[in-house]
Amino acid sequence: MKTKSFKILCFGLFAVASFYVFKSWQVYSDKSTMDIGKVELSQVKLDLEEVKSTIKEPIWLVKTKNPVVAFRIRFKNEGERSFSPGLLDIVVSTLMEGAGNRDATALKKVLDDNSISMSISSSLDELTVDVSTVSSNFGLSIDILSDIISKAHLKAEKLEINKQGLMVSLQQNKFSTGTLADDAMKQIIYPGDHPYRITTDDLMKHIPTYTKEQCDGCYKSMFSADDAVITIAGNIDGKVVEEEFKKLFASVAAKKNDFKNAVQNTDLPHQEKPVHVELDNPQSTVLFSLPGLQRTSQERFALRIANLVFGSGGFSSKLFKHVRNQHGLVYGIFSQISDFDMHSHISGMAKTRPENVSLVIKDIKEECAKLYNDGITKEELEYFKTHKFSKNVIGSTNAALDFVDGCRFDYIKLENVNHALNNYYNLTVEDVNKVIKKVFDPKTLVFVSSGKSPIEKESKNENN
Amino acid sequence: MKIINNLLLCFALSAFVSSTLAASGADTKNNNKIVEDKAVPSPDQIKIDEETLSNGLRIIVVHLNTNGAVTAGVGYHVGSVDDPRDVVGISHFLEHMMFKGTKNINGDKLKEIMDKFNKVSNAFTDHDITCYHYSCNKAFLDVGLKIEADRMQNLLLKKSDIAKEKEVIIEERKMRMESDPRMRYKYESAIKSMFLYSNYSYPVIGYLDQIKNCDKKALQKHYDKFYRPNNAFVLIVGDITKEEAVIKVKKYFGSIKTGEKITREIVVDPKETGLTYAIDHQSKQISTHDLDLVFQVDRSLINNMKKYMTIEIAANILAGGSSSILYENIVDKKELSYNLDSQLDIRSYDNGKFSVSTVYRENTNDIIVEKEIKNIVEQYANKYLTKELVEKEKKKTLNQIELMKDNPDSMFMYCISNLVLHRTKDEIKDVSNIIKSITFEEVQKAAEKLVSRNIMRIHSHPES
Repeated sequence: MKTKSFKILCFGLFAVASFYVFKSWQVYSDKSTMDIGKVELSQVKLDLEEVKSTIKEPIWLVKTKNPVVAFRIRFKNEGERSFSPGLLDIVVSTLMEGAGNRDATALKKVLDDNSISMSISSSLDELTVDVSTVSSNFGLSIDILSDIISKAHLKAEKLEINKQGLMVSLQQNKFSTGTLADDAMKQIIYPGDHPYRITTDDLMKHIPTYTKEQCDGCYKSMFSADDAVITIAGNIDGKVVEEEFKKLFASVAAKKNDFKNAVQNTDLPHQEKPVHVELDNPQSTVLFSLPGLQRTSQERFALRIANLVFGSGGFSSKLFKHVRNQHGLVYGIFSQISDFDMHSHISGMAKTRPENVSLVIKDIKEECAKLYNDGITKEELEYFKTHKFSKNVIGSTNAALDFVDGCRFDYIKLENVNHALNNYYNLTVEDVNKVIKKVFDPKTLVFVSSGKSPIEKESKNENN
Repeated sequence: MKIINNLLLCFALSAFVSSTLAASGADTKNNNKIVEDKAVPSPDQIKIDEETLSNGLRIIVVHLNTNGAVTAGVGYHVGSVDDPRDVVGISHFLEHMMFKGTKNINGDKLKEIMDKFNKVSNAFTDHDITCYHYSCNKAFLDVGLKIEADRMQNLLLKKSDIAKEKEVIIEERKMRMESDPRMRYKYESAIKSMFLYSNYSYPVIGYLDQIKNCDKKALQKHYDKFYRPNNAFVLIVGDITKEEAVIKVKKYFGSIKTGEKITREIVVDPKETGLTYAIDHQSKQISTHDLDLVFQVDRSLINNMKKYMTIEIAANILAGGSSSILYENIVDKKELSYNLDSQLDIRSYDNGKFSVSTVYRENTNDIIVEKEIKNIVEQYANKYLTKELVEKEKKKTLNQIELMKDNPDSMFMYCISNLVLHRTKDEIKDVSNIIKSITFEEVQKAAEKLVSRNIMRIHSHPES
């Protein structure tokens, strides 16, 4: 009996010990036991309507519940690339300095007092107007915008002040490793006299030279009804939307739309070794680029999934896991698809101390090579499909606007907006891996760093 | 994973959101009618509910029309104010470690899950709070809650993870401070000078040498002391009822044991130190001329919601944005500066500050700009402030609340800024009515006190 009890006791102790050993192993071997259960997915459902308009493109309306309205007008007028470097910047920055019968102060006051958020910005390819306010001020916001796009004062002294302001911020940027690296990268990606090759030095050279007449000429050709693409979200009736935008464009010249469809290049030149730009700074910037795909390509959805896996998937991307979590080399690292009318490529950025620059570059190369050689797994694809779904949370009027305008930018038809995610759900592992082979070839990676020279440490690392 | 210091907090949120970092307790004597709990809230009120679990965890639910979206999170009443003097930065360090895994889930998996199911998933540390938050489709809410409940009680602090994360935090500090001399002087030097003995003189991110020396023992002690349900709250904002939310939170957090009552050893400064500081900072990395004038806001001036909102209105009329009195005079009329803005920055346990910041033009100097600003400031309450301006500012603030009701992320941050200061749901709910009840005379009195004590002048400019 005693022996039997002893055996049972021993077995019991062994079982308990084994359980704790197993638990410890689970903890220290990084095995997870948490079960998050089954989560049901459901598609986005938005109340969408096409509104008639006097302009070339129909207006898209997203009906939301709250008394807020937000709209975006994209003027597809070839943006900054159709003007001399910096000219559009000066004019855009002066638009709020008085329009119609309001001077600068009155204009800012009327916007501020009525909680109208209005911004006008320019990019390489287009001008964008973003407005949001409470629904009751929608009409007022259109009246103000109408003045700004057709009756801006553009006073000579205001233009001069804004030129100085732009020069001050450009001068400040000359001390930023990010700006220096970006300028160097532009010179690599956009060779010769490419219209996107506008560096800080170019801007600083041109901006002081522009005359009032040049600014007026730029203003006259900036806004055209024929170039406008309007998307609006809010608790608002389609008829009201139609009338208000009719009013807006009544005073805007409907010039002939001479926008040419640009040829979108997706290649990058071959690079022998990373380019470095010297700046005495405690932290360096590393930029990298990979070729892209044309924005009309059927494979663009697969590319987005591949890029999520590589560097745009936040905590879950290969770059974040490897360079930050495993090696602790950076605080942040990401890649993104830089999609412009005339060029599309993948670009990425990391910041690290100067002595770690070569290690970060090595890590990026390795992760790119692994992705290129191994592709993604079925599990990874499923993971990132849900990841993509969960990013389309539309909790506000502005979020609804962003989502629908994003679909429009992506050539998705209005009737397909509520099914836009099917473009991702229908992808297979083969679709994504095919794109990876096209785009993520580590031999095509281009690097630029800026900061204190990493050369000394690089040789040290090699010696080690 | 980031730091939101008060400067950044104000930048990131709307003026109104930051404004509601209000002080304790609604003035129940004056507002009995207002704080009465009604079954059906008036349209002006924020639909907010609260319940406290037996372990001390507060659950706050704000109902909004958000098309199935929710923003949720767990806030802990711990921040740099609680950091021991020899390990400044430990609260922020612990925030990073909360993403490194628990006994039930490893760090990579935890981050993958949070990333997969949420539109946004992040955390921030400030002087008085550490918050873990995420925005998602309501269907995914349980996932986040389960993870938060797990890491509230089962955090695993592995030495190897601590060592790696130290490197990441050092990179973060270099990015935010060492690489940005203006930020370093405006924030780090300013708080160091502004608070004599107070724990609020600690920079949230900590100091490089102390970050390097932070060890497992110190982190464990900090976690055990502050990461308890009775020192935390769960906040859920969006398309959800109180009943749904409470069931979910109870399910995951209900069984967590309450912790010991936390005793804080926070040193605060004397009401008036009698000192005024002037910081002059010149660097070749700076190309703009910045001048900041900082005024002390005594904690007695903001110790209830109404007093605080009154001070906030006074501050905004004087220097909040491009239609303020100072902007109109210094930027538009006298054309001394490129821009001008202000910030009201409130702490839970100590005096706050009101700072006016401007980037002045090269053709003037700091002495002239300071003199002009002070001329206006001194006459503000009795000459510049009018009834019309007060009414406009009240209307503007009410509009901002309507806009916030359309955005769960903004509402979440608004609530957080109030909960930091242990606000009740009634104080948050009735902010609109409180604003309506503010009189011109009250704003006038607040305006006098707001700028009565100039405690600091920070001048940063290019190397001469």
